[in-house]
Amino acid sequence: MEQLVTPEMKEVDAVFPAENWFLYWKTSPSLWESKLREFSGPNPIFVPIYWAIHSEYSDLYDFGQIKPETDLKKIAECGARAGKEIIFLIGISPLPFLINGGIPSYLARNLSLNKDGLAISVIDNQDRINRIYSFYDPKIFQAFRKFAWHLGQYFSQLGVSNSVYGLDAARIEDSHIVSYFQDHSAVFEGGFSRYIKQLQDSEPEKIHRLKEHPEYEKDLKAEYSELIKNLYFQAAKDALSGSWSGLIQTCLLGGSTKDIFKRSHDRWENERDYFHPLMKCVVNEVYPNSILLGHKIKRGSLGKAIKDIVSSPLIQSHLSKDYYEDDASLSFQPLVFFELNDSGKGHFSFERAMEKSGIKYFFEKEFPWSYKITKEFKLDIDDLEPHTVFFFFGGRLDSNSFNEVIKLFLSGSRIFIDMADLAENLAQKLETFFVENEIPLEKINYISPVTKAALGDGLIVTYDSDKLKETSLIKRAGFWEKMVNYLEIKNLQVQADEDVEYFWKVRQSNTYELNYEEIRRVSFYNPSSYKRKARVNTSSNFAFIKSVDLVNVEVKSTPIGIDILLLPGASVTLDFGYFDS
Amino acid sequence: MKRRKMNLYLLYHFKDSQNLSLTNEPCAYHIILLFSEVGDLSLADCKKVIPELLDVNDLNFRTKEELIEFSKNCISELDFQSVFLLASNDYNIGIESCHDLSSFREIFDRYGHHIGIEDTDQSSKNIFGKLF
Repeated sequence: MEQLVTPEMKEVDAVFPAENWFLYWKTSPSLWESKLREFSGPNPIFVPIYWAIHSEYSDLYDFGQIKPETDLKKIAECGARAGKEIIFLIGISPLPFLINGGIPSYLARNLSLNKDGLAISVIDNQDRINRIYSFYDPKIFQAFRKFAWHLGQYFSQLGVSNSVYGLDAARIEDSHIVSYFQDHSAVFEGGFSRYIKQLQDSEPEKIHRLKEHPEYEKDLKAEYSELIKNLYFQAAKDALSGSWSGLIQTCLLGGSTKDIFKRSHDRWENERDYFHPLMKCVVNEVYPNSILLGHKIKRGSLGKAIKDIVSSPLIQSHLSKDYYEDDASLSFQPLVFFELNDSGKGHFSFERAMEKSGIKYFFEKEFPWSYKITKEFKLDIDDLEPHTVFFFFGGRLDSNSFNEVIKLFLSGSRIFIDMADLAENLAQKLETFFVENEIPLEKINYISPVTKAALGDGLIVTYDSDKLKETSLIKRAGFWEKMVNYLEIKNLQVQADEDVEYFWKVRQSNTYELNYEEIRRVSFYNPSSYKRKARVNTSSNFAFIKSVDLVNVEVKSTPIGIDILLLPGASVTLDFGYFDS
Repeated sequence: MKRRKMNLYLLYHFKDSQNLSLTNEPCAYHIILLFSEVGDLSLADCKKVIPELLDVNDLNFRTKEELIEFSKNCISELDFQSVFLLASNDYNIGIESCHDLSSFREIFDRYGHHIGIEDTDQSSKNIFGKLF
């Protein structure tokens, strides 16, 4: 017979429901300082501003004048007294961890829909259903602009000098990171129709292209969506100009359309399901957030993984450069061997591009999560990691970004270019560049035509994903194995049972570790209910240093590697020194 | 897996004839989600009902009769107790009045159509016409 148990909600969960997020309206203002003082998580502390509690009615704004829990200045003061750095966040997209996505209830009129026509909604960490409303509703934008202006006035008049970031909340939908700003409702479609009418006068060439290529509508919709999103961003930035520090995109674990069904069934929801979304966020350079997940699911290895991954260095890497620590290289950062870049406009699916060429399968097999996807490539020669291998997709390169790629090559980087969809003039420009600079070329035909050009440390390898996609996945993986083997990437091989998740990090060696160039750290997690095994194979350029944070785990060093036995819920971290000899 | 006490939930999107003529798609009923209390219905399970199916995302039906037939076959072939069918429009109406988990769990029951084992060919009863 089943027993009825009253769910117990610890107050700490409500006030600090995720890594370093402080929800001020969840507790009494008299407790703010002690709560902040007690908090032992990473700094800085993010404080999302709950629009609806500051403006319940149209043209009524409360920042502590009526309700004490809306006094943002007091939060800033409490933070300062508690020795914590407070960063305020203003949502420039719906914020699903708040009722109605954070908007005042009088504005909650038009539900936001996903691509299948389903109302977008989530289950929050208190099992409450939060619906999302369309930010394309002009009434929401007008009210938002007013609210941001009043907030800006309040901050400047009362001398609140804490940083304010715009917050764009996203979720993972069919392997893609999708902002809650995106919407397919009638409100969006209506706005888009008006945009098309406007384009007929202002940019008729776009309408002409749309008539010839109906699939261009997808790009125009992305353009319109970006335009409206930018209005919110600009309104917040202008209103809060004194404190404005930039934009943070956060991805909410458990916030996808399917998650609401999964999370409504106890026997379906499993902590294992959140590992890949967590790592996908890191790979996509989006700040992962577990604010929607309940305390129970975060108790085991998932909670440990979130704590390990969402660390201070990762948080700081999402903030503006002022927040970078001087010795950031001495903190563990995600290990990145490959960087996939995009500088094009409009809709582009990295997932599809990676699947088409077979890179996705190869990375998952050989270099899981040891790559990153950069949506807006900007060349910064000073910040170049010498070991990173860059990937560019032909269809996304224009004249400017092409020139950046050439500069990258000349500065000694190793680059792969997918020639599929590369504009003809750019393909010719590349050939001319090789000829004019007398760069010797090696050409082979292995599944795809491959051209290799080397100059000093710089390397360009071109391939054609259209040719690759005609072959089997195994052959494509074989292609990438050959290509990547040529690069001689120094990496420790891991063999792990299917349910075992692992994630690599790296940092520079410190003054006590002069034998090593860098320290590689791998953390293993077993979210399954069974015993699982993993092994890190011995390699000539690596030395095992230590194991830390052992939970339900046995670690044994053998001549062929480090053997790990992980009990259910186990986690462990291993450090290796890397030396180049 | 023993499913005799489990329900199957089917969430679909209906494209009306006006939209269909614009997109030239032959199928009016596109399955968005197909799941039970323990998770998604796998491709292997779907293949037991539609052997030629290659991808769960390709589950589309031209008519409501085909959709109902599929649901009934799920009960008989996969041993489910019953199937709840819910259109995306009805889901959106249902979600408007939901505030917590218990009311969310009732959406399929309150706004969807229920097909039980008694409605399958194994039963002499026929409530086919009553469903829509």
